[in-house]
Amino acid sequence: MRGSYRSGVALILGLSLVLTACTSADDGLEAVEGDPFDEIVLYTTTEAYDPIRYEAAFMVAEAWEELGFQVQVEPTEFATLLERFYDEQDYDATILGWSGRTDRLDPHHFLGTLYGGHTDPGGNNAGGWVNEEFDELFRQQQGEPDEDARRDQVFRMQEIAADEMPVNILFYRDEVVGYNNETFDGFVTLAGEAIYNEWTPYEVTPLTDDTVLTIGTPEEPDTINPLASTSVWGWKFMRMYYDKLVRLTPDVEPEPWAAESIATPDETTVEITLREGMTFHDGEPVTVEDVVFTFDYYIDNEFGYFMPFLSMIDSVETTDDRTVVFNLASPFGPFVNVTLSQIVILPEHIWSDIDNPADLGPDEIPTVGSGPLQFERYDRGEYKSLTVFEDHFTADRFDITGIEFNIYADAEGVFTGLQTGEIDMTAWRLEPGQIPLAEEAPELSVVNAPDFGYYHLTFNTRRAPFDDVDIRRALSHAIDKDTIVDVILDGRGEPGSSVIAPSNPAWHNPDITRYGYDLDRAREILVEAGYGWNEDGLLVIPH
Amino acid sequence: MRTFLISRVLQLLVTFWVIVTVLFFLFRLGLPDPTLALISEGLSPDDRQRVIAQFGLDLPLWQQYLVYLQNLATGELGMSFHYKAPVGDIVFERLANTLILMLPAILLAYGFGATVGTVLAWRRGSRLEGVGITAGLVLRSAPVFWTGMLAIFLFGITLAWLPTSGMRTLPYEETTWIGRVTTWDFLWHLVLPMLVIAAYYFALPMLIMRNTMLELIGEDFIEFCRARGFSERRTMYRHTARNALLPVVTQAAVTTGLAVGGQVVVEVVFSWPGLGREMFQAVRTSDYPVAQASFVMLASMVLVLNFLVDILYSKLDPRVTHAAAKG
Amino acid sequence: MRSLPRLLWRTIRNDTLATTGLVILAGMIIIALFAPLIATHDPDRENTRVEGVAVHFDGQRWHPADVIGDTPLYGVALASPERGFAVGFEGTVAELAADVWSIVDMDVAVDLRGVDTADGTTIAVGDGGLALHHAGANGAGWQSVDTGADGDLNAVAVASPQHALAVGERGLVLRWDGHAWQRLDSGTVRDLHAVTLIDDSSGFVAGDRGTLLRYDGETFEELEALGFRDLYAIDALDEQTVLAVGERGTILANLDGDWREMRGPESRDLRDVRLLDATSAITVGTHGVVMRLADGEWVNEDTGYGETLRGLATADGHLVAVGTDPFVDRLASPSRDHFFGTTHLGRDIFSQTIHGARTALLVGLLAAFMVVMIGTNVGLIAGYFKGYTGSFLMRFVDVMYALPFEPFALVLVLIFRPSLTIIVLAIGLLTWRTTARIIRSQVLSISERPFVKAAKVAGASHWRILYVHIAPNVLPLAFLQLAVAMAFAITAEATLSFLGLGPPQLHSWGSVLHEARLSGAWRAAWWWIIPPGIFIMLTVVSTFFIARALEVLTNPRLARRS
Repeated sequence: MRGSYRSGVALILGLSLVLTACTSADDGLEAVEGDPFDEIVLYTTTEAYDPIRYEAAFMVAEAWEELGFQVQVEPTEFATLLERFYDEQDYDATILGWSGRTDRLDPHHFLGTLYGGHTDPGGNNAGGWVNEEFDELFRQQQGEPDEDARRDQVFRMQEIAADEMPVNILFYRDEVVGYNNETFDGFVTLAGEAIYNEWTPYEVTPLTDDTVLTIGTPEEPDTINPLASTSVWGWKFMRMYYDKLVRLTPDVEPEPWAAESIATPDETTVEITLREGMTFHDGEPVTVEDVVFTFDYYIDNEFGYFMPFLSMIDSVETTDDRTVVFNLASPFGPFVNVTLSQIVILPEHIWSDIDNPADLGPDEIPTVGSGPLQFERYDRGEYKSLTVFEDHFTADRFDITGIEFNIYADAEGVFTGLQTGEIDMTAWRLEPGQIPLAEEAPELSVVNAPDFGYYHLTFNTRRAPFDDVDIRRALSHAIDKDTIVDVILDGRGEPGSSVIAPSNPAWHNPDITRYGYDLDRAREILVEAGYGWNEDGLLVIPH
Repeated sequence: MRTFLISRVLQLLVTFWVIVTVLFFLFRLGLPDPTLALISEGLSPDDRQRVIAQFGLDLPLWQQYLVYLQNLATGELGMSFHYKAPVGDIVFERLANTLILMLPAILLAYGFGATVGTVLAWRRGSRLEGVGITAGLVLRSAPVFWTGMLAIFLFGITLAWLPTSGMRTLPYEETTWIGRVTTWDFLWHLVLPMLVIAAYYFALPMLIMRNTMLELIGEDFIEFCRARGFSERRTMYRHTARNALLPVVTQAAVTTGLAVGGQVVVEVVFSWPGLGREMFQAVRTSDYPVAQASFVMLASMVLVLNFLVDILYSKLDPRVTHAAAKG
Repeated sequence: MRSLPRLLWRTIRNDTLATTGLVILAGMIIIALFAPLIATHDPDRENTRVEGVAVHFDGQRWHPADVIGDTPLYGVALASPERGFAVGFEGTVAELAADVWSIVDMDVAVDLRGVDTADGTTIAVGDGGLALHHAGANGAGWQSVDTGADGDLNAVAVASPQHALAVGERGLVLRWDGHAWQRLDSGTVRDLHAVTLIDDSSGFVAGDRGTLLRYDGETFEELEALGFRDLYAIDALDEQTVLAVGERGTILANLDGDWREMRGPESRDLRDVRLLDATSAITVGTHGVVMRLADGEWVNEDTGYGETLRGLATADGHLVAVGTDPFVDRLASPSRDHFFGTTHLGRDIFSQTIHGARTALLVGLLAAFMVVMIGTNVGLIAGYFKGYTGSFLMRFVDVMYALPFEPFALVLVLIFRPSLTIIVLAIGLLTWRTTARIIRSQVLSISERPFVKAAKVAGASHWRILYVHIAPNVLPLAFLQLAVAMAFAITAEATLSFLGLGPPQLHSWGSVLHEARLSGAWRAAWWWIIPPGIFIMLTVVSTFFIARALEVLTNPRLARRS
């Protein structure tokens, strides 16, 4: 037990020790005259929005101050933070994140956040970093048909980015979810999605008479209108009752789905053959006209959420009653993996009469798809349910008869539901405080799923001093990612390295430069770059 | 009386307009662009512009204001950016959820509080009075979110007697709002938040009742009752208490107005899908239409109830002392 | 009226409750003023602990962790269930004899990273090429043996007294032949972390970036890497039964002749692994991770210990795991070190609560003064100038009344970003309305009194009458409102902070509760939610008690009756 008096004495002793240490350590670094840098304002989320990024910002600031910078942490409401970062681009450094969505397993999107063509206000490259070699490679990989050649390009881009450090990848956070091991087993774990994914319904087997898998979630679709939904929760739900031409397997390989086969006769042509005998949930057959209609409909309605996947399409046409040909305006390597695995097939006979699909009221939204599960019901804030569609070509692969979702007000409610057996699994992460409780309960299992989304600290490279790569490198050496992961995430995550996460092994380059926590090295870099410290210990540009 | 009424109604409308206007500009100028979240969904700047135009956010502000006023006058509250559904559907249900929590809680607090207040006045100067007043003040000083957390910890988690969040157990059968709130399950969920709110509001009617009764005890007609040889009990309950009830009732009306908007924090703690919680979330996500409509609705509750109290005051002239607490 | 302070003082002194309130309030003010001295810890610091532990499994169940000293243990070896050795940080060596671990006094200052034992010979290796040998039977104790290497050694495997292998950084491999250490060529420059020997002529080595080497007694053959993850431990029963584990839950297995990657439910680092037989195994790792392989599947095992385990050894079905690194003292219940326990990040709740008093009282006092200043002046003016001025002011008060406090305050804070100033302003600007109304009605009746009329006749100016003649008479009421407003302001600040709208990194009772709720950990940690609430309650109730006494002063009818 340390009394206040003694702690005061200890503080003074400690301070004098630190001071002596400083003077002796700075032997070679005499105080120099010069202008100190302006205070760095580090933006991060509020504690209520994300305690992890909030705490991380203060840890980073502390180390930066030790290096001789003046730092002000500015926790900001999320929407305001986005505005400042993307629209106004008015910041020094900002901590934000990208979520891991299956379409982002293809490196195109994440690499695009560093592409020089995306630096305009509202663009993804809010840090404004431009590197000619990187940009050239980015354009090349986009149309590169050969996977190995593309991998080399993608690896080289990660190397450049890691070396130049325009964006410091702080950490990848594991999704920790729970399920009841007495009611179902066989859950499939995917990076980024944990156990709520497209494959779990096929693989789970009921252990009791209850053959309906009940999922608990605090999140719900913004809407189930396929021409209005812009949230991952809307699309994860809709993709269960709509079919896509291609599905990504748990190993992230494209699997022909509603398409029976896919051919790419040249770089700008993709030909698919439609599977025979498919029907929509209302009994109408799925035809190539439906496929062509869907793509045209999305493009004509300028549905922004899908435009990144569709903007390269020149035309879509049928050559016979089973073949659809996509003519691309420019080569787009990820077309099969991303575009065809994201766009759902809509029934032409229902949607062709709807002129302004985005304006549909909640009760007017069609829910007829051709997917493996059939839409039953959705009550906002309460409940959703799906049943197995018996006429689907995969219907005999199911051991379950349906899926229902209980929508709770918050994570607290979800966990209580899991404890009381109301639900069989959680769709989203458990709160840190709930994990040990779930681990103690014998009927509950906890799954750690690595994510390929990441949290990043972006430097505004338009501004001094962040336009200087040495400053960015030195600051990167002063970010203790290990401690952030170990203490704040309780070890459930990984210190960041590249925009392509290690949990995406096909594209992650493990050999890029890593900036370990090393203040001495950071000081060396600054000295070599010609900076010095004044008598107050502040970093200055010598006169 | 008629001119008084007309002038009060006019005042009410002006106040309403002032609040609506202040809120409109506060939200539009203070909150960030609601389409920002689309960037992290991968939307390009051009595609986002289209969404902005779709929401009508590309018009000049004064034009948006006029459109808003016009819509409001016709009862049209607009579309929620987040839910992509009509705002009216959302906020009216949330308001109902809030009322069905707050009204029973306030009824309970005022019924019980007034009764205890009467007893305290009757036993004035006794030890019981001291204990009662102290207990009332202590309850009143505990922040309601904290008592809520304690109640959840004790009755919800440790003893596991009562549910701790939301309005009902999932899954459920009923789909209409009335159907949902007429189940035992709903009452079961209501108990904890209702008791916590009631405990917080209980001290105010208790003190008002006691103080008013103490003032009345000296009045002539009470002395007269005593002189008539009525029993002390009868004097207290039949005559004094009845006369002391008026300030309690008017305070109850004021409190209700304030409580509807004033207990965001209870809705948050108990994850109650009420109006305050909805507004809080809407402000955070820049969902202006929902934020505005919720706030206007909360303010209207206060306005209307204050208006009614004013009318009541003008008819009667009760002697009210405000106790050591604000509504 | 001249001695208003004395009057207030006497009123409070004559009322037991009010005196109690004053004492509590004074106590809070003292706590607030001297918070840094009273607080035992830095409220923002993640308090850490460090200890050496051994966790035993006796074939049936895991026993509670044995704490052996206060330095982390990195490696462990068992000769039998009763006899074992553990090594660790800065030359720590512990021996297990007759079920009791005891620390051996060693004259070694470098970290010891690995230990192994076979047939009475025990070897420990560590940084700077250090090797310590212990030949149990002849009682010679621990002796340092020159290895000729100066690189850090990470692990050692002893097959027999005549054959041992040690591995270390940058591909360093040393062999012990019973007489001396000799350097071998590993063919790699990766850091090597683990080694296992099946017999004198076969074994495996594992290291960084999935490095796996097969050893045939003389030379090393590098196996094709499965993935890029660092491997920290390896164990083999024979050439066809090998398990290696490493960072981020990596498990590489060769259980049927082919190497493949396995996955358990954990994605945290795994530090050691032991095969129990051809189909079952145990692995341990950071943050208390323990997984068991049975029926081809890895499942979590609960040992009751939650901190890092780095070493694992087995003998006759018994297991022992050792650890830890410095770890955050999370969610510790109240103790002599932490009076109110710690948070999920190991922060001292007592110190946070003490610092919270500053925020509460600062906001309480500032906001209350603001409320009373605005409210009293508006009330005075509106009550005295009964014409248009008064009626305009009161209509304005009506508009203010229509703004529900909590929602409006949180909108203001959300729009203007959280700071103490905006919180004080929000409270101050929104709640003067009640004071204004109450003061006004008092002024209305005072203006009719003879002394005011007399002053008017004497030709005093309006302002003079208002502030010299009337104002002193409403002062007791203003003081009552001050106490009431302070109670309200303290609760309001706590509420806003509880909703996460408090200024960042400022300790407040509300923000302590906010963090508790946000973390989800308060479901188990009662000590996290009770103290701040009690402090709020005590402070608020103390002002209520004082207010009650003042109320009697301003409303003599109450005094007469009770």
